[in-house]
Amino acid sequence: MERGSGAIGWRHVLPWTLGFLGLFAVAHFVLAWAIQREVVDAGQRRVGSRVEIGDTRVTLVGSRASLSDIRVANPLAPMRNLIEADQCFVQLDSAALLRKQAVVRYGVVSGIRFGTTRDTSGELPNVDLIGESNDDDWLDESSAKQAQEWLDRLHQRFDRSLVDQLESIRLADELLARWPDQSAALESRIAELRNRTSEFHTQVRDAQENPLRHVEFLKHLPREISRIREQVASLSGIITELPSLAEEDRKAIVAARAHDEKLLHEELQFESIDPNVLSAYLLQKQLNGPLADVVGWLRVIRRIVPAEPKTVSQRRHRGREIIFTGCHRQPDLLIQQLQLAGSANFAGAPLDFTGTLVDVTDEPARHDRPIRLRLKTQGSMPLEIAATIDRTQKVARDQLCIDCGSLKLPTLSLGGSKKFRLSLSPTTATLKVRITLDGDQLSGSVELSQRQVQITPTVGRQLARHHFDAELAAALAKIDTATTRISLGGTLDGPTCDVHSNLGPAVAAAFERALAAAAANYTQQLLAESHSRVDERLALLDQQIADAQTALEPQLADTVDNLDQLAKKTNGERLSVDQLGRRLPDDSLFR
Amino acid sequence: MFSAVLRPLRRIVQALLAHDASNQLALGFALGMVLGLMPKGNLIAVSLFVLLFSLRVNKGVSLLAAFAFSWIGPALDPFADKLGANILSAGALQSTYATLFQMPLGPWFEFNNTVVVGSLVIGLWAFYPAYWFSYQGFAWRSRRRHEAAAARFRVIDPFDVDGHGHKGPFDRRAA
Repeated sequence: MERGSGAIGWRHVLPWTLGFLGLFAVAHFVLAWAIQREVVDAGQRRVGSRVEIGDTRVTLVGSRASLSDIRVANPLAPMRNLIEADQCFVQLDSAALLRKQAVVRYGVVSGIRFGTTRDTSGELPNVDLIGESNDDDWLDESSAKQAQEWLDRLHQRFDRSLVDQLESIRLADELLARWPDQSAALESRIAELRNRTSEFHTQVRDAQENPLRHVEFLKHLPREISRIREQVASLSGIITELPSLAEEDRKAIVAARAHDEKLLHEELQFESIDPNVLSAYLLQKQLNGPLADVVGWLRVIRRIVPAEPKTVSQRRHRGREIIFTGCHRQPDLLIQQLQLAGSANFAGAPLDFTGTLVDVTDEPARHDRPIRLRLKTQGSMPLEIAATIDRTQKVARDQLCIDCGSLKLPTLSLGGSKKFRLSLSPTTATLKVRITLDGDQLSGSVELSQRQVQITPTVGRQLARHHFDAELAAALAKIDTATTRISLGGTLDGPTCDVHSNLGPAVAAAFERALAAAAANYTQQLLAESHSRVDERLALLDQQIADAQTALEPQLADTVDNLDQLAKKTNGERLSVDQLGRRLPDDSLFR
Repeated sequence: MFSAVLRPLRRIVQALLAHDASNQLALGFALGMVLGLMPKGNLIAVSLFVLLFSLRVNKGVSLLAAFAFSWIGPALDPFADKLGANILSAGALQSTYATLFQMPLGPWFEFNNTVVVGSLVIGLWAFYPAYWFSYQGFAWRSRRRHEAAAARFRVIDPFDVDGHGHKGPFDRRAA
C-alpha cells in the first residue's frame, strides 16, 4: 500500500467536500436573489406599481426564507405605499418543490403598515395606474347641489334689506321729502307779503305827502289794508296749523304698518327641504373619502387577483398543459397560512391588529378554497374585518365584512358649506359593513349608528344674527342617535350609492322650527325698526315745522305791526271836505 | 502561472473539439438538434443536455446544432402542439401519464406540455435521418481534408485502393 493511501482517499474527499460546501453556500445567495427577484417581478406585475424588498435570506436546511423591509407602492397614489411590512418569514414545504409547487405551509408577516409615505414615486414605466378619476363622480352630487341652492336662497332672504321695502318707512320718507318744498313755498309767500306791505307803505307815504294827487288811492286805502290783513291772517292761520298739516300722511303711515306686517309674513315664508337631500348634503362629503378608499381597495384586489383566470397562452409562451384523467390542476404558488401583525389608522385612531390570511395562491381558480382574510384589533376599539376572494366558482366573488361594536369617532364636521355645518362631538358608534362584488356588480351596505350625539350647528352670519343657530341648536339637542345607511350599487367602474339617515329628517324638522322662530323674531325686529325709523322721521318733521313756525311767525308779526301803524296813521289823518278847502291856497278859485 | 490560468480554458476548448470522428460529429449534431427543437425549461431538456455531455460525441457541434435549432423550433410549434396533443390525449395511456406525472419530479419534466412532447417526438423521429445525412457530410469533409493533406505531402493516394493508377482529385489538382 502506498504511503498516505487508505480506505478513504482524503486527497479527493477534501476538495470535493469543500467544493460542495461552497456550492451550498453560494446556493443560498443565488436562491435568495432568485426569490427576491421573482417576488418583486410577480408583485409588480400583479399590483402594477413598484415593489421593493430590502433583504432576502434563504435557509436551505430548514426550507425557510425571510424577507425584510417590504414595500408595495399604491397604484392609486404613487407617493404612498399600499402596504409596508418589516419582516416576512415563510416555511416552505420541501416535498411540494418536487411537484413543482411552492407551498408555504406557514408564514408570519410582522410590522404591517398601510398608507405610509414614500420618498420616491412608486409608479412603474409603461404601466397604467388604476384610474381614480371617477371617484368623486360616483356620489350623486345633485342632492348636495340642491341643498346648497336652498341654503343660498335662505341666506339671501335674510340678507336682503327688507326694511327698505316697508311702506310705512317709504311714506314717512316721502312726507319728510315733501316738507322742504312746502316750507319754501310758505316762506316765499310770507316774503312776498312783506314786500307787498313794504311797497304799500311807500305808496301810502307818497300819497300823504300829496293827497290831492292821490285822492283815489287814499279813498281805497282802507280796503287795501284790510285785504293785506286778510292775507296775513290767512298765512298766520296756515302757520298755526302747520303741526296738523301732515295729519293725513300720519294716518296713511299707520295704515301702512299693517301692510308691512303682511309683507314681512309673506317674505319670510320658507319652502321646506327634502330630508334626503339634506342627508346627502350633510353626509356625502364626509363619506366620500372612506367609500372611495373601500372601492379603491376592491379595485386593487381585482387587479392583484383578477376575476378572469389567466389563460395558458398568457402563462406559457409555448404549448398547452394537458390535465390527465385523475389529475387536478394545482397552483404553482400556495400560501396555506400567514399570520399577520401590524398597525393601522382607523377613524383617525392608531390600532394594532393581528390576523390570518389563508389559501393565498397565484392561480385562485386552480385552488378549491377561496382566499380568506381575518383581521382583529386589540384595545378599546374592537374591530373585525373579514374578506373573502373567491375564484372557485364561474363568477368571481369578493366579500368584505367589517364589524365594530364601539367605534370611537372623532369630532366630525358635516356639510361642506360655510352657510350650514354641523359639528358632531366625539361619539361611540357601531359600524357594520357588508360589501359584495359579484363579477363586476357591486352591492352591499354600510351602516353607522352613533349614540349620544351632541350636535352644534354653524350657520352663515346672515342667519346667525337672527339667533338662528341658537334656535337650531335647541331643536337639534333633542337628537340622541344618528343612524346612517349607505346602499352601494352599480359596478366597480361605475359605483353608485344612496344615503339614508335619520339625521336628514331630524335636521329638516329642526330647521323648520328654527326658521319659524327666526322668521318671527326677524319680523318683530323689522317692525320695531320700521316703527323707530318712522317715529324718527316724524319727529324730525315736527322739529322742522316748529322751526319754521318759530322763523315765520315773527315775520308775520312784523307785517301785522306795519299794517297796524299804517292803519292808525291813515285813520288819524283822514281829510274832511272843510279841511281840504281850508288847505287850499288863498287865491284858489275853489276856496 | 500563466499556464495555470489558461489550463481550464484549454480544457474547455479540448472538450469542445474532442471526438471529431465523422460518426461522433454526426451523433453530436443529431443530439443537438433534438435539444434545440425542444423548449428548455424542463427536466427532459436537462436530461438530454446531461446525456450529450456524457456521451463520446463532439460537444461543439452539438451546442452549435442546439443553438441553430432553437431558432427553428418555434416555427414547428403549431405542428408540435397538435402532435403532442394527440399523443397526450390517448385514452389508454391516461392512467400511465397520470401516475408518471404525480410522481416526485414528474411535473418538472413537463411532459404534459403539448409542445414539449410534440417537439421531442419530432426530434426523435428526425434523429436518424439527421445522423445519416450529417454523417455523410462529415465523412465527405473528412475525405477532402485527407486528400488535401496527401497532396500537400506528395504521398500515395490512400484512397486509390483498386491499384489501377487512377488519378484522384488531388492528382488532377496537382496536374
